[in-house]
Amino acid sequence: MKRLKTCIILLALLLAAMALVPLVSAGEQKSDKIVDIKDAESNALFEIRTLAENNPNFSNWTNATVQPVTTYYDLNDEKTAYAFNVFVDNKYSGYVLTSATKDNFPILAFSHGKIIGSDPKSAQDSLTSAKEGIVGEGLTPTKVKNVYLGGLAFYNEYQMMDSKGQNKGKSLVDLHTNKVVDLSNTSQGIPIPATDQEFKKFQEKQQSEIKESWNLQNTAMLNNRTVRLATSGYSWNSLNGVPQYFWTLGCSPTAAGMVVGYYSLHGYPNLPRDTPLINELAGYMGTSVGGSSWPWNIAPGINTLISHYNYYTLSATTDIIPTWSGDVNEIDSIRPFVLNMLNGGNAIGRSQAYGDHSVTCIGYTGNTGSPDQQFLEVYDTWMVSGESNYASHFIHYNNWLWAADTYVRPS
Amino acid sequence: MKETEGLKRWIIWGTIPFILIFIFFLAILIYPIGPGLPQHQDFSTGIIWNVGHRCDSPDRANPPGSDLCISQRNSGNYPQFPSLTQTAGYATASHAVFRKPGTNQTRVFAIWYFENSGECGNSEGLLSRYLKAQGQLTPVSLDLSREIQSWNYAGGQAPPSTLEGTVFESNDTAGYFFVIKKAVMPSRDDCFIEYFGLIGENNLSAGSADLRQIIALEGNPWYLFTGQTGPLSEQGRE
Repeated sequence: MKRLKTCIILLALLLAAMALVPLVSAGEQKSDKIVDIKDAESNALFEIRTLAENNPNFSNWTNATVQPVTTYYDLNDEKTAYAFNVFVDNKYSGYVLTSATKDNFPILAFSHGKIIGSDPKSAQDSLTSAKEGIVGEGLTPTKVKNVYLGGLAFYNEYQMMDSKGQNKGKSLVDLHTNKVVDLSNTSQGIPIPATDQEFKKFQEKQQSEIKESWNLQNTAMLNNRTVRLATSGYSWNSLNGVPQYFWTLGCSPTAAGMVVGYYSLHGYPNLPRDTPLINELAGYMGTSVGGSSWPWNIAPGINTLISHYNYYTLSATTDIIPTWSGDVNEIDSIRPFVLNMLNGGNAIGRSQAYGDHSVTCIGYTGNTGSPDQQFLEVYDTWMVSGESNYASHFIHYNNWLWAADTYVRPS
Repeated sequence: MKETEGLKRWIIWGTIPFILIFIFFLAILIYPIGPGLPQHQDFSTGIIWNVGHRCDSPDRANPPGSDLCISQRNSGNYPQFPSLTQTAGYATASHAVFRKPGTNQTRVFAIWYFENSGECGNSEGLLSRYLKAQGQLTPVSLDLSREIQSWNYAGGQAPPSTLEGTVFESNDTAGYFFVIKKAVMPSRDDCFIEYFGLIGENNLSAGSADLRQIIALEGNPWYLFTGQTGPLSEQGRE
């Protein structure tokens, strides 16, 4: 029975550890997955505000502040989590544990209590356990790091030193059981109740859920910000019903395709949609085999396509000196448009800068008087693997060297 | 005289900023936008994402004659065939299932994306060996000129109307395989393996019209610029 229990615990640890291992197919750079402590703090603050508004048990966290207290690592010295203490009126009121990597869910835990291992008694017990677990004489444990492997898997890692100050290996103490554990042996002799295929499927599903959580977190934070801005006199708008297309043949025909596709769905039904539409636009715009389009060809290409389908009350023009108020007016007039950027920067939540790229603008949030608070909402023709939906992204206005807008307007 | 020279100087110096501004705008206007490529790992998901809109709106006037609607979009290998993307870093797979309204007939469009042509060639070999053990492989030149014409493509670049591929026939499926090297653009090594097939039936002559529709509509842009597809090869092609 005892052996079975040990097996179950070790298996749970193994699963928790493996949840933090990136999928082979994820393919992102390691740096893209790292969440720095500033972003983690924003996540923690957003979480406590959300909890305060929605959970009566945490209603006192409305004006709470957070303070980073512990950084956790995995066995390879990669950061896995940050713990933030929550203070209300300068008094301790709990903690929020956030992920330090996008391989795990943004928020890992929160409580009014204390995080395991943070009180002095727990620290002393853990040290005692490390000493008791020493095999050999004259060794002294020195704590080197806090380890978090997912779920409830918290550990203290100790470096064992002999009397001459020489390293004599490491020791890991489980903070729940206060026992020294050897994680290097967890995979030996433990029957895993799932086939490789099933486990891979489980991993893929979990990674997909994790990515979706990060997308939701980003969107929710931005939406929340939008609501706050609105209550402070800012304005925003976001158009519904604009079709979302993935990059095909080039960004300009794809982005223009979303705009023309919108009109095909709203009053111009003979216009094509989807893949054939992008295909035709690429031809009319003279998109190169390298996927590039000349800015001065984009509006004429759209116009040729529109007239080919015998519509003469819809036309495209390009504005080479666009303004914030002009773009706002376009969205407020319920007209999505193409934003063509040279040397565009990153949108919020995107690890890849846009560079020379066309996107479809479907909304905005901000204020004419505050350029640093102006954002355009765009469909950028990209997706993220694992996304179950194609999400919009926000880019700071003027986060580019130069932009030209292609407006499509009914006359 | 002095006044005239002063005026000239003023005109020259005054027009320089305008000339610079003009040059700036001229420079950016002749700077192409794009390609704005997504990340490698997003291609198979994205292509299948684009497939899904066709039957969303009943008012659809163009393209005409579509009687296939998307019923599923899935990320991951099509389960009827071996997993081809387990080992490659930027290799992904997705598939879409279509249904014919009012019938139980279903069709599949499965795609495997490879960043690297070598990996694609290895997978081609693995796949063709597997398929040979399961059924019959026959090279085919598929003439799609009628389907392409019916979609009323008006763009400047005409897609190829004959596609080289491989017919696969087994007990429970039949369909067409295509390998598209340098599928995204000539300067890159991206490679697609595509399968357009019947699900749960193997009468290709009866189901071929549906598959041709899907091939002409959904696969088309990816052949447009490269201009060619190829059959599955046991050795893989470079």
